[in-house]
Amino acid sequence: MAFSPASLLTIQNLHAGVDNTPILQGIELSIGYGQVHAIMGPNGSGKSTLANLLARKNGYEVYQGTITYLAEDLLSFSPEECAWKGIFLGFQYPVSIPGVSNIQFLKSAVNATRVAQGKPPLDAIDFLNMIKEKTAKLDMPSELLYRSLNDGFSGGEKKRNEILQMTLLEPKLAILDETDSGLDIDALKAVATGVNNFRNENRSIILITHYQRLLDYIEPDFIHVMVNGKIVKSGGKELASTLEEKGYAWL
Amino acid sequence: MSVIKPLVPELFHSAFTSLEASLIKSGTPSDLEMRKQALAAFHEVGIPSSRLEEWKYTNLSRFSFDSFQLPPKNSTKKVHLELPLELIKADPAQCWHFYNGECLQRPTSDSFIIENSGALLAGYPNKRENVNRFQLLNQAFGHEGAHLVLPKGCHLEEPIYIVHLSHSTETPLMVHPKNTIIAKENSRATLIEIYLTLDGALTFSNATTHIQLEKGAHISHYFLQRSLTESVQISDITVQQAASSDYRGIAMLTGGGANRATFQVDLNGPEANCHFKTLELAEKQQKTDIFFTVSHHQPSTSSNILARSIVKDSARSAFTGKIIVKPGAIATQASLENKNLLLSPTAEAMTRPLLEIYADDIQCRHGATVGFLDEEALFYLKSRGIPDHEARQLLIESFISPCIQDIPGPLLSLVQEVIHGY
Repeated sequence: MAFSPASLLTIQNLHAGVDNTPILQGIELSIGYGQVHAIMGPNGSGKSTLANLLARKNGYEVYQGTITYLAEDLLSFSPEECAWKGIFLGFQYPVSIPGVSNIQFLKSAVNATRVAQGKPPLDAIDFLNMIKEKTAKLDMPSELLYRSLNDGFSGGEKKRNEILQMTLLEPKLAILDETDSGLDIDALKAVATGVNNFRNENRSIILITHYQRLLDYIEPDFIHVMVNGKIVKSGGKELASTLEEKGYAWL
Repeated sequence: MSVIKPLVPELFHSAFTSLEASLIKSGTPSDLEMRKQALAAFHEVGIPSSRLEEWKYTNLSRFSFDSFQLPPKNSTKKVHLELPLELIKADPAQCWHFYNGECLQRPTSDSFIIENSGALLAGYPNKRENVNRFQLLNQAFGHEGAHLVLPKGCHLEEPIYIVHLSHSTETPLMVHPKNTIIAKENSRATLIEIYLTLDGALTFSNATTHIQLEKGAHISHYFLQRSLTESVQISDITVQQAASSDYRGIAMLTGGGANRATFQVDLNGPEANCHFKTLELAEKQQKTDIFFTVSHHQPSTSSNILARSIVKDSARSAFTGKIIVKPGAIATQASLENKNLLLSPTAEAMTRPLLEIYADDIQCRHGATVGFLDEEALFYLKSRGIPDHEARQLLIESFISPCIQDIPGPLLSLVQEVIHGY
């Protein structure tokens, strides 16, 4: 059996930023298998920087510290390697790409990932069967598959599409950046159901959110509060209600 | 007094002398005088320099035009050409096929009339104001081409193909194809016009196409000019539109040392419409240049030009779009949009959206952008496991999608083949 480290992801003393401006100032975080961690905190605390860094977006500088993912140095990965190794970032603002159909994009993503993982690519029929089943579970009209990627999609449609991508790519670590922002209650419930169905003992999730609302639907194992680029408080799910009551100022 | 010959023979002197001899020999010198006049008129002005506004982005000074010779007659042994006819699956019944100016295949369809020359044009109005100097050269040297008339009310389902291949093996050759399309009242057809320079020695291709649309005629025109060498490819397209006629389509230029297309569209009758798209693809040291003019002469006419170019390496593309609204052409609607995508820091894209408006009560808009691939979009695709090269391809497809969405299937595969190299 393959060697399996104690935790899926370990971040140690991470200092990072953009253009010589530090944003993250000593992050310590460990994510175990099958765990759901929520990272909360006020605007500008560095939550999205952390999410982007974990998906290896260009333009961030790491000054100090390490990120270890399945015993490998995550900072040596390219964005596509992150995906192939099982890291998924759900975007706060999914990008629209007119003229490229959603289904064409999804098929490219699934098959490129499968090939990189040493699996055979899916043919058109197998892919279609798989995607039909997954869209139905997300209560997503199949018409969205044939439109241009995220082009003219409502906020809810975009986020459902992010969750669809997550369920198709079957990552080991899903980072959902403000997945709840801009969603009405029905869309929020659909997205939460998608995430809860996805959740199992082999898949870990980092939920980045402003509000406690999402945590009513997706129950985290741990909650971390991030302020000024540091995790200042960690606790169980009960921390959410304290934050709801008192805000972030007391920390 | 005898005529004193200039000490230095003028440009194309030897080529014209041999043309003259062969015309006299074949007993068809009837248009020799017209040709001489056209050549003399060309000599008055010469090859345009890039100091001229209209030719600013096509630098021809580095080509030695005198070295180009007319292709020898009947030199065409059965040429084996796998491209592009096989790929585009043209119906032979509706296809013209020229090789170095010589007609290898003529359509056999009886749904339109095939003429021997563009002489029928004489009876039609032509509001084109400027004569391009390469048109003069084409008049002097012009040879075979496709000349057709679409009868009144005819609706052709299958496209008509006009395919010109040029290929210099040793001697640099020049070809001067002429094409004429007359679309009679309420006729409808799709025209696919392809110029392809095959790999070999330098070639100079100088084509003219004249499309005359009578009242209510609809022409969809797909124009592809592609060079596989650093050749000079120049085309001049004149479109004259009567009332309620509709001219639409796409022009695609790719490859070549100087790949230029000049379009002059005159909207000569009320409610005439021109909706055209252009696409330029240039890589390495290639230069492409489209100069597209639409003149609105009558009220309630509309034009809509959408231009895109993708430039790689140290190549340069240029697009000039010019909309002229003549006095009295009220209720004109015109729009002009040019977007350019640079794929390397040394690539260049020139854009000139120009409006000349002499009428009131009109709606005109224009815009131009030049930029690189969107980094956020690239990251989004890569974060889904799509490799860098494929992610760039998808974004390029997205960029040109408004241009290519209407291209007929067989031609689209040819276009996509070119795009996949970017």
